[in-house]
Amino acid sequence: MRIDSEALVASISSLADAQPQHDLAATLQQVVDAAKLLFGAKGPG
Amino acid sequence: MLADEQGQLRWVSATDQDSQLAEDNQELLGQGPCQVAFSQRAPAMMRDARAEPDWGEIGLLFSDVKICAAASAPIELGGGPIGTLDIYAAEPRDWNQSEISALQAYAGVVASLLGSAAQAEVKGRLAEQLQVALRTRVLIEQAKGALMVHQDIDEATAFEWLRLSARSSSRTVNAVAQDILAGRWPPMPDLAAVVGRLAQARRTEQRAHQRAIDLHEQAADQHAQQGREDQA
Repeated sequence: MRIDSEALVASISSLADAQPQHDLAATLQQVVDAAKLLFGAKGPG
Repeated sequence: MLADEQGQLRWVSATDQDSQLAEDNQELLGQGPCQVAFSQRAPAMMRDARAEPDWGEIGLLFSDVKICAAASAPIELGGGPIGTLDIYAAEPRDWNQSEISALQAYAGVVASLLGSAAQAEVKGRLAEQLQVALRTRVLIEQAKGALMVHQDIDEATAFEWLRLSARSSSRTVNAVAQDILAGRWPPMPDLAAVVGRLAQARRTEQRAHQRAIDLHEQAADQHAQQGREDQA
């Protein structure tokens, strides 16, 4: 599937409120969940 | 996945059990796209686990957890790889350039978030894993540089040398790296094995790349043909 740059920017922007300094595990989970949506994948890790 | 003190990748976070198992299996076998991406510092793609025997046993284990395709990009922090970001698909997938670029962009985001966490000296299991990965990366990068100069070899070969030396002497990659930096050169590993592993990884990567080019040309031909039909 083709990923256009607008979708990529929107996906990465959804991580703007991530706070790795407070909860690293939750932040990484947020990243893999967002990546899963963007790539339409079975799952990232 | 993040590197541990032995320079081996360990899974950190995954969206579901199958993805976690895929990461566990790559960790166990030291095979798969994430291992290639990490050692070669470049994206690695598997199009179809069932049709690419060069990947070795990991292809069979992927099939067991209903994973058919995978793409990995290295996560780099402070000038060296500390882990990988991996994407899995249940069906064969011809990874295109937009997907690879997006994966690399995401890996950059992860690196930035991990960098923030490291600076904030976050506590907890993941934070400890991150600190180990960072310490390991510095030592390994320095030792790789020393090996490259001393043995006149490229970066990927130097990394395989470190891994094989550690494995054959039942020591950590960190310990071997420390020896090298202290001027104690480890016994020369079986270079044929090093070169063989690298050649295998490169062949797989080249085939995936060629497949992507073929598909791109095929799509361009179809597009041109469609244009001609529309004009007629």
